[in-house]
Amino acid sequence: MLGIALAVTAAFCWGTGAVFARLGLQRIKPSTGVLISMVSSLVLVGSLSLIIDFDAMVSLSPSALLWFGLIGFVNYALGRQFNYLGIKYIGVSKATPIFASAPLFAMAIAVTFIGETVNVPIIIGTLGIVVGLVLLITSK
Amino acid sequence: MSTKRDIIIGRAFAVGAAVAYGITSVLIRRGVAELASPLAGATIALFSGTLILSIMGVRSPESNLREKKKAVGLLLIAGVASGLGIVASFFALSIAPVVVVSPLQGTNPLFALLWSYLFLGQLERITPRVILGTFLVVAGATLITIGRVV
Repeated sequence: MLGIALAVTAAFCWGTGAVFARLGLQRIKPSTGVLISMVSSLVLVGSLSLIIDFDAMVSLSPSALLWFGLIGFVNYALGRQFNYLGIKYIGVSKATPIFASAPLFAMAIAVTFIGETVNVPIIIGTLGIVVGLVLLITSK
Repeated sequence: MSTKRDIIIGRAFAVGAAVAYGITSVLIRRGVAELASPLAGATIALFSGTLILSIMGVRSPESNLREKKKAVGLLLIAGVASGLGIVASFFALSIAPVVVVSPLQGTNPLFALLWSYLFLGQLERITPRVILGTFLVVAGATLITIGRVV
């Protein structure tokens, strides 16, 4: 039950954060806005990490630093930057569900390059996302 | 008022973000997660992203930032909310199976949609098409996540 509550809390926080970003981006460039939000995210997560996960923080291997550094580039320097640009240009209500189509791209990459297999829920899910994206992208 | 060009650019960026998040998900799934605890990994990723964005931002600094305190505050809150989401996700995954946690986390556009409807009425137009599209994407993402996990 606590796991479910925390997962819903995560969704609540991300959905709410996008709305605050939308409001803030009315007066600030997305490139600056994303940096401001990254700093506050880093301070919060970094502080908690040092408090409750200190041993893990100080024992990170060079390969972990490299790989998570790469994830930081893809997920934040590119992902959050594009996220804020999307919010700025088309608004949070249309951009956020497009971001949520990420599992479709993850699945496509995994099937193409890693050889993951496709099953019935994935096929139905793909159809749902494609129809949803068409509705969002063609909406005025 | 957004121009047609703005809308095309915005859609392209939104799809670009989804692709970036999809690549991240594949990297984490392919064993990167085993290299460090999720919270420590998230900290390094946030640090790296912040560093890269700082270097990129040096080329086009924002002018008159002191006069935009309210906007800065809103973006700081956005960052805190995002950080709290990361922390909540970390704890959720530590006590509940990914097949339960991931689909629930994927409902975040429904919250964004609700808040947009309630608080951004003058900025955003929520049409039945947007509502239906959002629900279809969330449902589809849930099915794909379940299909990949089970």
